[in-house]
This record gives sequence, C-alpha cells and structure tokens, in this order.
Amino acid sequence: MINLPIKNLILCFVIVLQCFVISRVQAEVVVVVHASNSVTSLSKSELNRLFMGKLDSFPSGGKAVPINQVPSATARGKFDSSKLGKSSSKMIAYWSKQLFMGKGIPPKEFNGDLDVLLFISKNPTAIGYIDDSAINESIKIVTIQ
Amino acid sequence: MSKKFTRKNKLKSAILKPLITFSLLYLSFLPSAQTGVNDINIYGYLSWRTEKVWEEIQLDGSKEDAAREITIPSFNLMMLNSISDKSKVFINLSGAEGEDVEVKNIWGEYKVNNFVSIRLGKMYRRFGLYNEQLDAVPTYIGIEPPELFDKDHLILSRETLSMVHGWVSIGEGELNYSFSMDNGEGGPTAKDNVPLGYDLRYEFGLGDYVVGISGYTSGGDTTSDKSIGEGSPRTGVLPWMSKDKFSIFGAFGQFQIDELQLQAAYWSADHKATRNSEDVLIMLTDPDVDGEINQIRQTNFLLDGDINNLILANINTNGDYEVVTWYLRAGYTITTKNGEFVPYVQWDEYENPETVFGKKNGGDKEAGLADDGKFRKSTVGVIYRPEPNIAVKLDFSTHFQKVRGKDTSYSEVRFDVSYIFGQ
Repeated sequence: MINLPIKNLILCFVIVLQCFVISRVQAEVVVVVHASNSVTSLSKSELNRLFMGKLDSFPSGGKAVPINQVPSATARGKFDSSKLGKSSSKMIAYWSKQLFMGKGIPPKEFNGDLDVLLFISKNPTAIGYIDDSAINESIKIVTIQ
Repeated sequence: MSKKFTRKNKLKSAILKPLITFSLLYLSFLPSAQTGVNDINIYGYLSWRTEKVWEEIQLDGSKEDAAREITIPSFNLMMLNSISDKSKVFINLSGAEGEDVEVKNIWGEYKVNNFVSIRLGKMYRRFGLYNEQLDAVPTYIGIEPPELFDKDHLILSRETLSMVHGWVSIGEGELNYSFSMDNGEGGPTAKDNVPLGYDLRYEFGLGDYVVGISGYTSGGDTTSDKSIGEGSPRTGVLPWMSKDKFSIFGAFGQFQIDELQLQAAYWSADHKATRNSEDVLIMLTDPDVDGEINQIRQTNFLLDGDINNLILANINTNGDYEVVTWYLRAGYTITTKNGEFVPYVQWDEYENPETVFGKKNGGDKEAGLADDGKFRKSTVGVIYRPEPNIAVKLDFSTHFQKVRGKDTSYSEVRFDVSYIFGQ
C-alpha cells in the first residue's frame, strides 16, 4: 500500500534516529580546558588530585580552578565514576568531610554543559568536564591517561 | 534568684561572646567577599540524640537502669574563608546541648607549597582517622567516636596550637605528614619541654586506602589541666599526678573496597608518672570511696595494699602505667532510590589500669569500673541518609568488663539525628 519513496523515507528516518540514539548512548564525558591553556594531558591521579582539592595547579605550573556540575547533571555521575573512580555520593561525602575539617572548599558547581562551556571560555585557568557532543572551539579536550 | 540571674548571665555570655566574635570576623571578611576575591563558606550541622542504658553495673556489683536521656540539640557552626590561593581562615563554634558555645577551632593557614603549610591558632591535631573529623559527625560511619576520643577518658588533648603539614606524591599515592606543637598537657612543669605531636600517613588507590602512624610526646614532665574534684581532664594526664612524662604511639588503616569500608587502629600511651600522695589520700579517705574507686584497685595506690592503713607514708607514689586501646569498624553502603543505608559493626577495647570510677575526680565509668581497668564494647548499628545532608542513626552497644571477679555486661541503645546545613 505504501509506495517506495515513502518506504525509503521512513527507512532513512529510522536509520538517522538510530544513529542519534546510539551517539547519545555512546556519548562520553570529556575533560576540557580553555583553548589557550597549554595543558594537553593529565594522568588519572593528577585529575583526581585536582578535583579532590589536593592540587591547585596544573603539572606545568599554571593555576588550576576545577569546576563541577550539579549532582543531578548527567555528566556529573559519568565523570565521577569514569574519571575519578568514585560514585557521586562518595564525592559529596568526601567534600563534606573536607569542609568540616577546614581542609578545603569543593569546586563550584554549574547546572550543565552550557554553563561549564561559558565559564571555561572566559577563564583560562578553569578545568571542567562536559559531554563530548557539546564541544566547541572555545575549549579543548584534555586527554586523561 | 541571684543564682538564676548569674547562671542566665553566664549562659548569655557563653553564647553571645563567640557569636559576636563570629559575626565580627564575618563582617570583616565581607567587603573582600563582595569583590569576589574571597570565598566564604558558612555551614555546620545540628544534632540530636536520645539514649538509654540498661542494667548499668555499679562498683558494688549491683545493676541500675539509667534514666532515658534526651539531649537538647547541639550545633556546630563553621566558617571557612579562603583569603587567597595560599591562605585561609577557619572557625568552628560548637554549642553542646544548646547551652555553652565554645570556640572549638580558630586558625589561619598559609600554604607555602604542597610540601609545607603552616597553621596557627586553635585546631584539632592530626591524629589517627578521627580526631580532625569528629565534628563531621553526620558524614562518617558510626557517629559514636572511638573510645580514645571519648571525653571521659581522652588519651591526649584533641587540640593543638600550631601545625606544619604537607604532602608529597609517591607513586600513585600521597605521603602526608604533620607536626604539631603547643604548651603541653595542662601546662609544662619543666622549662624546656618540647611537646610534639606527629602524624604520617600514606593515601593510595585514589584515596580509597589509608595507612599511617600518629604519636605524641610530652617532651618532659607535665601535669593535668584539672585538679581532683574538678571532673574529667581534657588531656591525657590524670588529676592526681604531680608529674607525668608520657608518649603515645599508634597505627591506623582505612580500606574502601567497593561499598565496604574497613577501619582499624591501635594506640598505646606510656606514662612515667608520680602520684601526688596528698591527692591520693583525699580520694581514698572520701566517705564515698567505695562508690568512686573499684575496691580491688584501691589497694594499687598503697605500698602495703592495706586499705585500713591510710597514711601519707603508705601511698605508693609510683604512678607508671600504660593505656592501650584499639578498634575495628566495618560499614557497608547500600544505595537505594530512597536514600543510603550503612549498616555497621565495631569493636572497641580500652584498658587503663590507673583510672578510677568517679567522674568527679577525673575518672571514667567504663575503664574505672573494671577490676583490671579493661573493658570491651561491641556495637551494631545502621545509618540512614534519605538525603546526603541528613543522617539518622540507630545503634546498640554492649559493654563487657570484670567487676568484683565476675564477668559482667550492660547494654545501651542510641538514636541520633543530624542535619548538615549551608554547604
């Protein structure tokens, strides 16, 4: 009953939709800095130390300001587990202890990728993370080894 | 009437002074905060507890049900101010049971680099897993502190006045050190005392594993901060000692294996002390001595062991003794859509052969109860966190000790609610 062009159109739509879904599922969180920042890679432990308040500068010597996303953000859970190796609840508990001991203040939290992009694009010392689909030319990806 | 007035004024003063100090400090930080130079964080927690002890053993071997106790809510109010990348100020006000407000911490820190930071003021010394974080009550497993930090029988004062600390990267982990120095426990009795605290710990596995040692030396003879009759000392020196040279050494570890957290610590405090024979005689001739000091241990204070020969010349002034304590803890985090549950178990052992039962003379009702000064405590409990900033805890402990030659035990149950605000 359905003629060939319409069938093809539906088929194309389904394929495009699948590609979109697959790309969303496979979307990764990437660590990013300002485009002018000389940092290109960090070790996992260096990244961990930056986001746990133990380091306040990049290995190259420049000041580093880590920024976080709110716990409800999709990227937050992915970043905590895949990059820091801890659950978000453990990171929250860790920072509670640090605060109560006066050891440090947790990284500022932003609502999502767009806010992180905006902040990093204006702050050459900032380091954060976003979904890789949100990358633009104002920032650059840092490889985590 | 006048007593009430005095108490009211005292209360007002106890609460208002620290609050005024806090407000002034806050206001002094405010202008720079508005310019965005400073980061000010004000936060804290409220906590509330009710507990009940059943069949608590007395020195005569009888048992008493203690009255159920509901505490007035306590609070801790903290302010952390990052003045610059290298310096910060921290204030911690504690209002125990809604009454006296005490400045627990007030310090400033300058970070030279990762290897060296200098902290001056009143601060908790870095000592084992818990001393620095006891005011982070809602955040750790087991709200009940380990026995070495029980305020009735501290093995060391919790606070110090200066600290140098830092860390160095070793492999994938960090080696952290700290040295602390202050005026000593209760004030030095020797001119050249150099009381020194230290802590060395290695954190690895992205912070999941911690192993370390801590210690302290009085650096010479020292005294207690309390005299007999004045209650529990806030240091590790007993009130009836005329001098006490002591050192503490301990080791600890914490291991996070997925959702399972294990902790262990062992401490030994070695005291080379001399009893004040007059103080000891006052304690032994107290009409209520049998309610204050375990009968078997009364004889330890006498040269001939004869409790009927109570004269100064018969007091044994050799007060050398050793306090040994250790604990094991295990907690498992279960995350559900309704919050986080952490069931946990712990085992504490504590032995102090010198202390007495009566708190009025600085003793404690646990180690002081036992014939040999030794007690064990098992605890099972669960913490429920419906939100990360709310902790509800229920736990049940049983104390085991030997009294009048018999193995005895008694139990207690505690229910705590804590709420973190302002983070």
